Amino acid sequence: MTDRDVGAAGGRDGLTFNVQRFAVHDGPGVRTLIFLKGCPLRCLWCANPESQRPTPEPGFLAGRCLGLDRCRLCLDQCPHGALAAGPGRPVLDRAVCGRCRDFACRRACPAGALIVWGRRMTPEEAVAEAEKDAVFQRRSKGGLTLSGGEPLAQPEFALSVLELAKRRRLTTALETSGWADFEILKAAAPLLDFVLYDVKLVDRRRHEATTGRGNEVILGNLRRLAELRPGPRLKVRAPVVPGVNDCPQAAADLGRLLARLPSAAFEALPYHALGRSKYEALDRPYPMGQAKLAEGALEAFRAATESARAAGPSR
Amino acid sequence: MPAEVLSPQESRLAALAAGRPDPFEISHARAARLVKRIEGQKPVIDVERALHFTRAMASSEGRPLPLRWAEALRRVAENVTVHVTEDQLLLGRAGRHGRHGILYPELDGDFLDLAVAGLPNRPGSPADISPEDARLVIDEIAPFWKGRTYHEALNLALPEDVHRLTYDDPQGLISRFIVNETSSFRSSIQWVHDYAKILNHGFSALHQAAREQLEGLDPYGVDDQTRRRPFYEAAIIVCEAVATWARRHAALARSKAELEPDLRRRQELVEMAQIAERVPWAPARTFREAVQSQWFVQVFSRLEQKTGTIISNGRMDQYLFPFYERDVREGRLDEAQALELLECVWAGLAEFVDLYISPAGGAFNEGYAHWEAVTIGGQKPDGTDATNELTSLILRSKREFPLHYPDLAARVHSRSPEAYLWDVAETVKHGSGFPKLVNDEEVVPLYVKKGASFAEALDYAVSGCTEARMPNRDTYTSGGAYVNFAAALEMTLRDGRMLKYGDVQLGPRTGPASAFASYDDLWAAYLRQHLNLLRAAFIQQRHVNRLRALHFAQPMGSILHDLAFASAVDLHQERVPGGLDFGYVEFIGYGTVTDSLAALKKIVFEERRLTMAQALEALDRDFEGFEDVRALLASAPCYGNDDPYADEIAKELDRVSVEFAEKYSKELGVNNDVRYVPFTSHVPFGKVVSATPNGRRAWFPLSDGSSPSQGADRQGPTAVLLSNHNTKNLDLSARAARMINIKFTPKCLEGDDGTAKLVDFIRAFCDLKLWHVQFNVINQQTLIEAQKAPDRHRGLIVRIAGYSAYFADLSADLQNDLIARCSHGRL
Repeated sequence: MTDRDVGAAGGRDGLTFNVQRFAVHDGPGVRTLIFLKGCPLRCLWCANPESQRPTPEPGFLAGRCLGLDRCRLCLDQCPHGALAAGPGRPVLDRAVCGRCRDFACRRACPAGALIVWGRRMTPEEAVAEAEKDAVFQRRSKGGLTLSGGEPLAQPEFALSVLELAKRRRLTTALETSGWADFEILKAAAPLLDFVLYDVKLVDRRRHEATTGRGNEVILGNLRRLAELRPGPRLKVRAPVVPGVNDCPQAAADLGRLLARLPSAAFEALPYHALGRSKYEALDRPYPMGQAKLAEGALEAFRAATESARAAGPSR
Repeated sequence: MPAEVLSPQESRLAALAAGRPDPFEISHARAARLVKRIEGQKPVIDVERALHFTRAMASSEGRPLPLRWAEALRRVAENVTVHVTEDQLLLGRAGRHGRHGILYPELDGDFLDLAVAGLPNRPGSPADISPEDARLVIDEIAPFWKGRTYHEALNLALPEDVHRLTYDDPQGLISRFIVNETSSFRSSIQWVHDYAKILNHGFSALHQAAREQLEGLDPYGVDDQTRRRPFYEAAIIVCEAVATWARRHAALARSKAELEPDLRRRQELVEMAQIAERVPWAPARTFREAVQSQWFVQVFSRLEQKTGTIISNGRMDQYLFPFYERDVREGRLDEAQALELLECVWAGLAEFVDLYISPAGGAFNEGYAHWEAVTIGGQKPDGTDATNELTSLILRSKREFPLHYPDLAARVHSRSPEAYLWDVAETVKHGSGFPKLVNDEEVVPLYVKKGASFAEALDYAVSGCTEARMPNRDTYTSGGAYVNFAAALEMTLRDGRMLKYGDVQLGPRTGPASAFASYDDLWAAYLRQHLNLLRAAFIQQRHVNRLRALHFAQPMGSILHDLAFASAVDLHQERVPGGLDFGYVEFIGYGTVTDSLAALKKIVFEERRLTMAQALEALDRDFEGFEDVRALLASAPCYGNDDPYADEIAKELDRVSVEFAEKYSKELGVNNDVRYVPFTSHVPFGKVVSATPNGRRAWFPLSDGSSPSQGADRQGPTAVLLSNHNTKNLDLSARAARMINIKFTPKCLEGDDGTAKLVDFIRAFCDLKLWHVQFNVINQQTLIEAQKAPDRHRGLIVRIAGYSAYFADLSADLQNDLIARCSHGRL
């Protein structure tokens, strides 16, 4: 990574926080996921808290730190003095940090404990990343997937990547929260083979309470996206989250909604606490605490959704 | 979601967990009994073969070697105790009941007494030997061989500088593990016979052909009378010896039948006797006769000599298919009966142990199992796809059979049928890592380039671990040198010495590493050390090839080979007219060396974040108190991540090696090609190499084959394959197998979707024209280990809920959760 790579998104270039190769569960075939940074929602259960803010930010993965007794390489590296020796480990003062463009601390850390989430990328670089696995994609009809964060929150970059990917004959997929200006989604649709569309809750107020936004835009966009002809293949995905939507009512609501989208596939995903260590790395509290999905809750949600869907939208 | 269909293995485990009877036992009663009898059994050494072989050799000194060997085999065939295994449908054992191994004193007789005397007290002793048998070894067998073995001759022959890199002691009993010779702990490298010849024609045909050759000899011809005559006389002796041995089994089965109270078993014994009275002397007529005939040949092959990794089984789905097809068509055989016979073969394989009791061989082959490869799939000699019903039956049998037998190798090519690859993928998913895959798209063109016809190359059989053999064209049997290039790296940093060996000047003096001013200086010094080891390997090989011809013969193996038979030259001779000689020089520590050079290049010479002196001090202390230096070095680009920085170094390492091999193979007279197949040598090789600049601690294993360093692959399996591809020098041809291991968790390949993705992955492997890949579907135990040592398992991808993640990056809680969830991965 060069210094140029770290910085805010702007225009055609994008801000990403991860690239994952050999993703085989998010869309058809072997895919390369480009994760875009910045999201309008603040879901309580978000597994990628580093994806939320639209600017680069440092993280400290304490588990990787060698400890100050073995390594002090980072200590005098911050020009702003945001890094100081703490008990056994360095401490990052976020009030002081964040103004810096080159993140010398990250480059100083040999263990990968101090990291910076946020890498500037051109559309060409993003597509080149995906094309590294071209041999595998060709065989599996895989390709490039934009994920996030909310990819459509960086519309110019997202559309440029998709356009270029299409020109390079990659299959394209989008993982979206649906919270975007429909015009952007509409512009993206002809460039997409596959859309994985998150619907967390049909109940507007609960949606707002648990994600920070209402769901009118999301549900409206979903309906209009499904009506596009021709349109991308559509899969609605619902995370099943304890205390949020792991109840028969939420499943029934979702089922009725799906009944109006006959061509959409559906998948329920279980809540997991994988993001916890990243909250710690960002010095943020983990909103879900010790919540756990009850045994059988996923299957019950899936069954209730499917049965409501089968009963039709009128009920 | 479609209802999940449980695999046989899954239903077996589910049934056992629920306290129900083992379904394998119900549906495969005979195989279950055969397995149960030997499961967990400690192998016992049977000395009979060694005893009779030695007595015969002691009485024939001075005579032509093929003739002596054939006489010895006759003595063995006539005198070893024969056994009928309870419940078995096949006759023929190399030794006593239960798990057993046999001795080859012609290889290690000079120190066999020491080894055997120490056996009872050896920690983790691999085998028992009775006191009477131990006495025979100490009093009779070993004394004869002292001063007569090939190993002693090689030890005396090696020039001093090469000896120093080969052995750690004057007697050559302890390896240096730097330029490791492998020719003295096996008579032959991995090998495949042309089994079809015996199934279709029987030894009687070879017997007849040998007699005709004898009759056609020029009575005045010096060559005919001194070389060809003993060869064909040996041929006749050995044909008769195999038949005698088989008929002794038949006679025993008949006498057992008379005493057998169980009527069904009595009938089986009678049938077994009838078959053994016929084959392998006469051609086989049925599938069952064919299986028995092949089994006799492979077991007798074990009596003939020690073949590295045990004699391979060849293209079983090809040479057995005509018999299978005819029997099924004519109603003599059904699938269940065919499966039962195959299981009898696998159970027979499982009873034989490939013993390495010499200090060098034992350490080198730590945890060494068996690679008596059964090949399936691929193409026919005319280039059409070769898969058939027997192919899928063998795959099914592999899924059902509970032990790690047979060692199954599936050939793949660009037109392999989807159904076959699906079947292969389903078998891989069972978790034992089989079948391993070998790629026609790489092997066939390379073999054609090196002189084979397309028909020969297309008909190759996988042999041993990753090799490909053309049973009537390959003629080279010498074990090659395994070269520890991590040692070359250490010598570069220590002016030609190694921490382990103190003051011994092992390599050229290339100056103190702290004086290297640039990466170019470092590379130049490394290259001198690297080429010095290759030089020693090739000189060593010259002596190996010359001396083996004086010590070893294999009359049966030779008459099964068209070229050896026609020219009356034993396969262990240096040159068989018309043969293709494919040997190997083994590159061990590829990832370790690449990553170490990349780390020094980037951290010391480019970014200047460390001085060479600091790096060296950290290495001297094995990173104790230098954890920051270790982390810094380890943060440099590594091979296996599709990263051009590391891959370019790896490609250059390959290039200098392959170029050396191309140039000096001509002088050596064989294709001594560069190969990346360590077996388990990267473990003992690591034990002599101190800390390396890639962050590897002293005495830890080196990287394995052409796989990335342990834990260095962080970009997933596609990047592992791509790095492998990127680092091959496709413009050169002195290339051979590259072994790759890929890890998956069962969850990652779950369901039909997972199978489809594995099939696509295999297709991409085929497209990349990589030689070999083996999948490791990780089980629970591995996850537990990964939790304890995350650094060494960084590349392990696990599937969790809607996506996959690196196991090492997960919280302890979630890791525990996954470990608990992964129990179905046990195999």
